[in-house]
Amino acid sequence: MTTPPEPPPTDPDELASAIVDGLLSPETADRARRDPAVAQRVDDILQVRSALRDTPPSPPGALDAALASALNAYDAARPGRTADPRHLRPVPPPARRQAAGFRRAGSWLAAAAAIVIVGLVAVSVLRQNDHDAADQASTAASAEDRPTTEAGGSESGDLAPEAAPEAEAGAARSAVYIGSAETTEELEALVEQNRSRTDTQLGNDSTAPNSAADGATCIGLSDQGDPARGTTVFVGDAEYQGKAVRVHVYELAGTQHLVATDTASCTDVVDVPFTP
Amino acid sequence: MVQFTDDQRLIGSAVAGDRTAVDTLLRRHYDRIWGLCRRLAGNDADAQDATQEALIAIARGLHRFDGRATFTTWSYRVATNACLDELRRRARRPIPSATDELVLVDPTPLPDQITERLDIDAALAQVPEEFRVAVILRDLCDIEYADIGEVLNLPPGTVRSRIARGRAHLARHLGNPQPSTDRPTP
Repeated sequence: MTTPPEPPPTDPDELASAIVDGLLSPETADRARRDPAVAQRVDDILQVRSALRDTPPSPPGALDAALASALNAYDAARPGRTADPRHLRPVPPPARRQAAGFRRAGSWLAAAAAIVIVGLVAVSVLRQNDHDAADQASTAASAEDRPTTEAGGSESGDLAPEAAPEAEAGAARSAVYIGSAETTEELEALVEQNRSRTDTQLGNDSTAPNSAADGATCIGLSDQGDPARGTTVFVGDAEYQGKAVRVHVYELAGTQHLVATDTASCTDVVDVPFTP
Repeated sequence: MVQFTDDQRLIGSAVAGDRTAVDTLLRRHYDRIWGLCRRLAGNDADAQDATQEALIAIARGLHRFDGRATFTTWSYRVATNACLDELRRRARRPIPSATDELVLVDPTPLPDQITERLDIDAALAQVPEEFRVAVILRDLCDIEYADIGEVLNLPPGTVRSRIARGRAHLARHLGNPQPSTDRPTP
């Protein structure tokens, strides 16, 4: 037993829609098209369809950002991974994603500005001290002893950060020097003070260079830090209890952790929850 | 067919833990998910977030894909729900629309193509959600009625009716206000 064919719709809109989608027999469609209202509606639907398909392209970077989040979610959803949260990376909530994008752009601009300022300062200093070779040599030796270059007046937050020499132990790239601390609380305060000019979503930025991949021997000293700990939302250099440390703030599953890694020994000297 | 087979292979690898397969699969289907979310959202900013949520939902749910539908149909269902959820969440927050910004910030005439996009976005925004989704799935995503019924969990008659109503709404909002007997839909 076969189902009898459905009668064609009587409503002009449904009739036109059925014609467009080829749901009617050719004879029925031809008959329906003789009604000017139906014919007009068919044309309308075809125009609307054409306009609908002219979808604007997705903005640059949207694909990578969405994919990064999706892959993080995939990692988190895998049963074998959930047991070890160090392998998880947080999924940024949508409301923050745009802000993160602006912060990323802002941090690149800040970095570019910092490079220019550093260059100008360096040229100025070199000219002024050109006559005193001994002092200059002494200064250079002192800088090599530090894991990062200390920006003059950077603790006040008024000046842009200064880049560290490439040859520093373990760290392939420079980071902002944020100051000196004796206690964990002081270190947290330094991070908080410097977040506004260095806050970045390095972990989600596919264009950010990975220092570890570039040759850093200690992942805790790279710009991006240890991805297994979460997304790096802050990186800086500091002096902690007299030792040079690289400081990372990792975000994982909505909570943040502050980790300070001794640049000389590549050991974590601070690893505490961090509340901005 | 090649894409279907490839999708199956990628899904198999993804479920087995191959992150690269997930990446490849999502990249492959990104444009159509973006298109769906862009049209549902009506502006780029909301569409970006909605697309991200959709990809997250797909990535999280890969292990639940049972192969009864094609991956395309299944992913449209997941993406549609994720997009709509995200848009409903955002609707509770007052955010100026792209149209508002463009009109207020720059009164100079817009290029025709952008004007048309704004027109279609504005027209879509006037269409009730249940009709809008059906039209977008049919006219943008090219999904068959039966699959739309599967995506939206609706019987075929309701799908047909919603598509017709949605198209009529759009035509009216885009400048062809023909009289139509607006009956309640099932």
